[in-house]
Amino acid sequence: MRLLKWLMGSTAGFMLISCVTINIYFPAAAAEKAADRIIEDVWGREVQTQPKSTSPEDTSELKQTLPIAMQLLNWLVSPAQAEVNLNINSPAINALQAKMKQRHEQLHPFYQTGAIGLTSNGLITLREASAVPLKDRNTVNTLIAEENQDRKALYAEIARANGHPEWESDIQETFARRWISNAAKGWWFQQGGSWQQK
Amino acid sequence: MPVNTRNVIALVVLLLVVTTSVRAIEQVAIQIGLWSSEQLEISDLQVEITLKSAGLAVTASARKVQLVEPIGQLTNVKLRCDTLRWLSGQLDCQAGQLDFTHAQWGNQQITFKVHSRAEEQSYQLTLNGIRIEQGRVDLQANYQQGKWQADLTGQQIELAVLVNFVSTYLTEQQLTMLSQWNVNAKADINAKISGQQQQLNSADVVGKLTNIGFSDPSGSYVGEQLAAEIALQLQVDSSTWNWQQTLTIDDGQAYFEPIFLDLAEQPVTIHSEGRFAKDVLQWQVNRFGLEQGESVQATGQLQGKALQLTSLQLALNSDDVDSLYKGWLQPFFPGSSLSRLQTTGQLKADVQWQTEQYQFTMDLHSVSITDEAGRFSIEKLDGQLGWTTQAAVLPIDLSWQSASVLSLPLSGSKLMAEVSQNQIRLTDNLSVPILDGELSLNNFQLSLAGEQGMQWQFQGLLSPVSMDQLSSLMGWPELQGKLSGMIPNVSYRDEVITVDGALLLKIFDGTTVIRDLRLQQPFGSLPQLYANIDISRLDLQTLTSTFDFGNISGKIDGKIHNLRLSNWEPVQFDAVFMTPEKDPGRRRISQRAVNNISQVGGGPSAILSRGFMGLFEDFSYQKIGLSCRLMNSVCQMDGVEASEQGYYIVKGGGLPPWINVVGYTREVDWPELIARLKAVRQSDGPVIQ
Repeated sequence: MRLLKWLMGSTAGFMLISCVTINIYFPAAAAEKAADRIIEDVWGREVQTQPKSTSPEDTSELKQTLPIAMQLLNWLVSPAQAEVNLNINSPAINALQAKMKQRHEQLHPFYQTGAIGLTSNGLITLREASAVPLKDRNTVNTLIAEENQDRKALYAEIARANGHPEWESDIQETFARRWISNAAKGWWFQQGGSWQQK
Repeated sequence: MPVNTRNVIALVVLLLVVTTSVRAIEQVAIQIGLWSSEQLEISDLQVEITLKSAGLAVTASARKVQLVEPIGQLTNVKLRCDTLRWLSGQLDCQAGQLDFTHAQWGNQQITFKVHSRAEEQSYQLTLNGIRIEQGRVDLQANYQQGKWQADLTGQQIELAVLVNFVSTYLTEQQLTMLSQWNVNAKADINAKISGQQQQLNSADVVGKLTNIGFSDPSGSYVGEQLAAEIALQLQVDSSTWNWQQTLTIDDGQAYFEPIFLDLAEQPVTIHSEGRFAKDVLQWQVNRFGLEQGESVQATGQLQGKALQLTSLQLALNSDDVDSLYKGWLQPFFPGSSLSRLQTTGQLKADVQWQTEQYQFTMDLHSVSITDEAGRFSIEKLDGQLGWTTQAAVLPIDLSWQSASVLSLPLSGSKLMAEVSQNQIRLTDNLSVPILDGELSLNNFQLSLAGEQGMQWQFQGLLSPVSMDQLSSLMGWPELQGKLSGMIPNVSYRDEVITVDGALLLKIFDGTTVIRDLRLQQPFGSLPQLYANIDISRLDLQTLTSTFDFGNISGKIDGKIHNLRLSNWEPVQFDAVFMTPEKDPGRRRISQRAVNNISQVGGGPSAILSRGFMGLFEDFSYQKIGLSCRLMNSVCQMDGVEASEQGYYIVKGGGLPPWINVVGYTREVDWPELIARLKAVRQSDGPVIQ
């Protein structure tokens, strides 16, 4: 990170515009790793560990579209980028994670019955109301609302804590994929607007 | 059912017509292989007629009777009447029996009574023992010159079966709707209906329903195991229906998104009186009442068209705000700061609603509200509250005994305001006592405008609050001093509280100014606080003695810029503390303080250049200072100036003995730094090597 910043500063004179473009390099692989760590903790060991689709491809695609003047910088940046790691160890993140972990015990049966499903944007929703006993309906609605608030706060906080508030949507998108990927067999998730079961 | 009845009568009459040609003989038996007409086809008809003193005894049977739809085919039809009288257009059967089998209606054994005077157009029919699966229906009907009355009693009628039973009479649209809804109930019902020709004139229905269950396709409206008693009176004239109705539901559970009702625990009674203009589909409930124990009693008026409510006026009373809140309010705010409250008290409310306009007034009596997460509370709220979207002006006059916001206790106060067009405006300045100080709010305005949600703002003055009380409440070390401020503007919009102007903190004989204070989602799941803090001329002597850090004298300046607290913990800032250039005061530092600084500044990697260290109690210094740029749990540290390999935290100078403290670690783990600071505060005394 520091090297990246230093480079950005020292090359700012002749690559003012490119400096802004640097932010494209969202550390996708690190984000996935971070997401998996949080998900494993929140959901516990039950979740499946699946081979990850890492994302150097994503960034290399971006590289190729950049002007030649950028190539030098990219080459300089890459060692720094390899060091990029997402820190997910702030007290705020830990507090959210602990809350979500605790809530998961209550949510778990509703994932199992398919009452709650994972949405494609990294949140959860009531998928099948009739699978929830009437007396639990409002409890479940509250749990879902609270979980989604915590999830949104988590995505924003990871971005902010790592000094890139603009990464929030990338982080949310990464989490969305990883929640689904880590979901246990039988759980429901949204894909392309329709519901599917793992 | 009237259609069935008519057809049954027709059948009876037709069968009787068959017997007329054989009247003079004592006993006649007729067999007909196939009787066929446009509306009727009878196979293997056998009729026996015996002349008796009381009249005719008729027995008829047919293997198959084909009637017009929707009745269709009856098989094994047996008809018996032992006392048939038939005289000059008068037909009587005091006790008859009709048995048949029908594909849908099953085996029926119905006793009947007929009394018919064709000339006077007067007919009476009683049918007993019509079976609908496990249930039974008795019918008594009179018809006279176009007017009819019927008394229908059903016992243990399964609604689903009834739906099946009548499904042939429903339109396709109605059937589709029915098939989507899953409805079930068992009913004991008595209905007295009357009418003229095709027209229903009145109905008086009393019923007891058990095992009611229903559910719409999405599961948003569901009832389970409900039990209800219903009474309905209906008067119909050419264009209007008038009704009076009472419904008590006292068992089971229901869910009308988002309201859940445990009716076994808290029965609900609903009564209404109203009228329905059927040609324009307009309805009006002149008297509406809903009662649910102590939690809510509502009375009012409603108007609407077809399935759309157009206006509503309700008077509400609750002697138990807690159950009103839990049952009727809480479900509307899942996951919000209003979703987990403890409430007590009583209230009365008046609600008026029309499409896109509403107004309510509320009288609160001893209402207390406490957030379960401890973020806010208010005790013993009394007075009047209101809201309106209209131009009318409603007064607000509220007082409370005490309150708290984010563990800051506020004493009781009084709010006088006016509401009009979605806005509250103070009519009197609001003063909220905070510990020994007071926050005065001027020009407080709150609005709830459409999509932007709640917004408010005020100008304020914070009169000095003692820091010793405040710091102990916040769990900080006890601080001496005062917090005060002139606040040009505080506003809340899009879940962010923004404080323009500055808060002034007078502690440690210096001044601390807090600017650009911004609080995001103060009651959200991760409150974010942003601020820039400038510190001027703190007295280190007072500061170090407060924190029991050893002894340092002199002044210090500082700034904590770009501060961000996430969930009330610092996660980011650029902080610099430094001896001021101007008038720094007498600068001495004790051995213990030196040692503590070296521990905090990098522990073993800080080197003391101490000369005759052991001999002196304290040392003089030229400059003292430390900076920390916190980001991502790492503190980038620096001192007052660079040394050969590190940076000076304390630069010696002045009269000897003097001392340098040099830090070498540039990156310090923030949690570790905090832990070290805590350790220093807890350590007993200096350890000099």
